[in-house]
Amino acid sequence: MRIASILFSSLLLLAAFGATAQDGEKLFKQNCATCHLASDKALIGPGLAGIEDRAPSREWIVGWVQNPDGMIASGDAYANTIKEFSPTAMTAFGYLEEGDIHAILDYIAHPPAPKEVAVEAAAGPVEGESGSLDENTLRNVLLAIAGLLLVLVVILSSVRKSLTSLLSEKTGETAPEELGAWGSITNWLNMNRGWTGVILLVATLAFLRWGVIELMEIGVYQGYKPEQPIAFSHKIHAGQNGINCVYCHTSAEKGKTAGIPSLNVCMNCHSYVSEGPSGTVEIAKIYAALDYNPETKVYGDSPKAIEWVRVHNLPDLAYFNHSQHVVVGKIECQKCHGAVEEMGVAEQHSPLTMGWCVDCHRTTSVQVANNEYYEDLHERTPAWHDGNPVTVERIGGLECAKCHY
Amino acid sequence: MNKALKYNISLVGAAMFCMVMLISSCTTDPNSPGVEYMPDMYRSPSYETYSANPVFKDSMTAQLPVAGTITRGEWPATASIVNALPYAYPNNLDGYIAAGEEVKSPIQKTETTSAEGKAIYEKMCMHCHGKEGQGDGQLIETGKFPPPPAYNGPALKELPEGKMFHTITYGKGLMGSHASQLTKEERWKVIHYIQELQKL
Repeated sequence: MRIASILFSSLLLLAAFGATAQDGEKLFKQNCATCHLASDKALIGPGLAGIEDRAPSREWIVGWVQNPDGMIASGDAYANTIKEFSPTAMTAFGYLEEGDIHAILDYIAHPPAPKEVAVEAAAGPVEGESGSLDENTLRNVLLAIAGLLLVLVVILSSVRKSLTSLLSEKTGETAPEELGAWGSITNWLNMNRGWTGVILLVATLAFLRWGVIELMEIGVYQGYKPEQPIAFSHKIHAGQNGINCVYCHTSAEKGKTAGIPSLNVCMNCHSYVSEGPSGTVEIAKIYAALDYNPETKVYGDSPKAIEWVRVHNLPDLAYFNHSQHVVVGKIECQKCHGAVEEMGVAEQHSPLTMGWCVDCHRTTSVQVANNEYYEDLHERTPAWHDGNPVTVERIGGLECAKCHY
Repeated sequence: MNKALKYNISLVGAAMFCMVMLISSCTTDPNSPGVEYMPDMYRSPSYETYSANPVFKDSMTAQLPVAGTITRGEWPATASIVNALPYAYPNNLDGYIAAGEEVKSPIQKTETTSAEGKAIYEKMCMHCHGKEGQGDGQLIETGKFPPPPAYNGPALKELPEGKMFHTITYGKGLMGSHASQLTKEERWKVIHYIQELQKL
């Protein structure tokens, strides 16, 4: 009976405690997690594990959280020491009540057991190679068929050989002279001159056609999908995380090139996110290049450049400007670059040939409406409003010197 | 006899066709850009924006501007000369507090500026801060990154514009500096839109 009551009361206690810790977790995530971890690892602010051993008292913590600036100004010794931790100031959380702060502290002191942490990391897509996988299977199937056919040829010819020898044995005739594979082919070609001509013609035409196709591909990078020094996935960043293209490729709206983001842009997120679906290896390459120590959060003084492999490359004889197309032309990135947000490895989607440029300039209507760049032009040239769409070609988009000068 | 030969030849032909298909599919190596005619037209001997460069110590052509450089045309002609100067508040607590009290938007807030700010916000901020600034952007929803506080929540509802500018410029908490991605003018336009979100 007594044991039962002790059990019951401890259960009650546990339940009560659990509730505050749960509230504490929620409050912690909403208010503190942007700068603090509940472990002893530092983020922007210090790790909060063991804070009650370090700080003078719980009351002091409450006061600090509600008004850190006031504590510093009052000349409190401990407040002025921890102020030096980081150049970033701690926000005043005046709206957090004493009870809230106690709940947060309870949560930090007794965090619930971590659950389902490693699951998501493993579930992330690592392949990103579905296209080439299909190509490989196709190749394997063709290889198998070719092998099968060759085996069939060998078997059939040996069957024929044994049948002829059987026949000659039965009839007593001397076996006809064995011609061999090449001999039998030339023999057949000799006997069927007409068919030989047709075959030769077809073969020549096929060869020429194949040659033309191959020649047209010279200098065309379409489908070029080089391996990069860091296995960066647009599928994760632009697709799953919903980060806009120009967040990283800022200069697409401002300059000629779309821009390779400098590493400080990576660090906007990766100062916190140090582990991706393939583990810490790839992200550690950013830290290595920056000479950054993720433990101490300190940058060294010998950063190196990351040598990304250029995917899209126009020859020097052609001028192309991103901002002109993105801002003035209001063209979606995907129109030329394809569904990059689904690409595990960045790939050249369009041929980027002159014919491809010219086709688009002939068919694309200029977006004159609500486009201040064209307002003036639009007003000055009313004669154009003949009902036909104003294509890029009609405003000079096919002039040689637009792109070649 | 002849028939068997014919059969044989068509088989050989089919096998050869398969081999040709095979060889042609082998040439699509994703790591190779393919054959180039006049490669020096593609791989410029002059230094391009992102090419390696032996002239500089860090081997990059893309160099940072000298500290304190004022970008040409960064400020509209209407803005005062004070705003053309580099941002003078240091990246520390004192700078943050001082910016909150002293820094004011040099651009008149209008419907146009906050509409432009909205367009910038949706590209540069929304994936974390969320469509309506509730700290529930798509990246946050994946659980990979802790949520930022809501603009209309108790922490940020009364945040002065100077502190916002300071935060976008230097970063605060887990938010990094966005000075390399947004010009000062763009930062102020975004702030104009965030002030709308604070009122929600």
